[in-house]
Amino acid sequence: MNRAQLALMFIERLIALATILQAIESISFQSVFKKEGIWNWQTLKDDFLNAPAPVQGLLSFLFKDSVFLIIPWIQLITGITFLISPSALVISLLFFSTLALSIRFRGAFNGGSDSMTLIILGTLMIAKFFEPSLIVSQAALFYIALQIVLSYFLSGVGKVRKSNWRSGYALSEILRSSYYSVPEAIQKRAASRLWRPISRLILLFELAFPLSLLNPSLAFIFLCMAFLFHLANIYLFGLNRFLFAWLAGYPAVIYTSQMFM
Amino acid sequence: MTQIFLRALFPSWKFFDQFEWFPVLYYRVAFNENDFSDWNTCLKKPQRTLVSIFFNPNGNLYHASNSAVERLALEASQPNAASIENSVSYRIISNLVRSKIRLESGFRQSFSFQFKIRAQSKDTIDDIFISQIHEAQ
Repeated sequence: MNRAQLALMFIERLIALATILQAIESISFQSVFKKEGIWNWQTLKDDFLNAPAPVQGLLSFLFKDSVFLIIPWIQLITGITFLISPSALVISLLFFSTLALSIRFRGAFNGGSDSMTLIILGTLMIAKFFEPSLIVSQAALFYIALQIVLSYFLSGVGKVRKSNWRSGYALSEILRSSYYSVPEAIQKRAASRLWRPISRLILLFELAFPLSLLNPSLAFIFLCMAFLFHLANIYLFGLNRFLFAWLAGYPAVIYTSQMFM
Repeated sequence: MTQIFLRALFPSWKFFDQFEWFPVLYYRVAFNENDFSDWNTCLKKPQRTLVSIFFNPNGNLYHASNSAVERLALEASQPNAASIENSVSYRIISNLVRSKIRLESGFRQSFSFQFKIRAQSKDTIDDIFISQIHEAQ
């Protein structure tokens, strides 16, 4: 097994784990998809009024209440199967079941983590179909690494343009609001000056993240910081899906940093 | 189509970009004709434990519901918002409020309700959208 295959194997295992956890969560709130549920198909189907007739037909079948309840189970079973025995067919089913769940929530269910999960699954799916091509494996790893790096860097660019982020005011406002389910103990301390240096450290970390591709030691340091950053996001905002989706892409960053050397 | 494809390949990766104000969903309910309650917040902050690192369905539903509220607030502020009551976003929030009232009232089936979105910032509070009155049967 070469290093590219080894890195892909780690990504496969980690993304399988992420989708298993997502599927268990989806199964636990299946009532939102039922006839009287919040995201019922009767309500959502108007989103596809302009879609071609075959697409509408397919979605009407796939998304009707009795059929759609099976989708999170397909995601769970294919996730477990992919963990044990990764194959092109299994990852295709895993990708399309994850995509169906994302469409059902209009792309809004933990938006960013859905995107990263689908990017990694889609890239692995293509790599699986071309296995054992080294060039495709390397391209897949490079693309996943690029998306991981861009996710931090572009987020930093968006923030640094706003003076309130640079001053630390934005972080205080976010922590103070009830929008992100911040723990009350933190909400009470949202006005503290402590958040200003933390806000600047976040900006620095996100903007400097592309440096992680320069060598494996830097990659390791940045990924450890990123891991802690996601843990903090779980504690502060409850964004648990981001940790596992992003973690799955980290082996690609380490591999790509070795390529650059 | 090309735009959707490119957006899927290269997402914008913007997080915590909007912080000037936050949309908050409120509702009021009448179990007897026109005898409406006060306005109550609809989405209650879920409790988190260590298990939430791996399994956080209520927290993630809370985020999805907030995203749906934010989307309706955005659509309602557009110039062509006249038909907003027929939009998918409006009906999702209507479903959300109806489910919430049913759950909290011990699954009573017949009531009237109304919801509104309030924009809350550090210094100001504005009602930016108020729905029609709906009958749940």
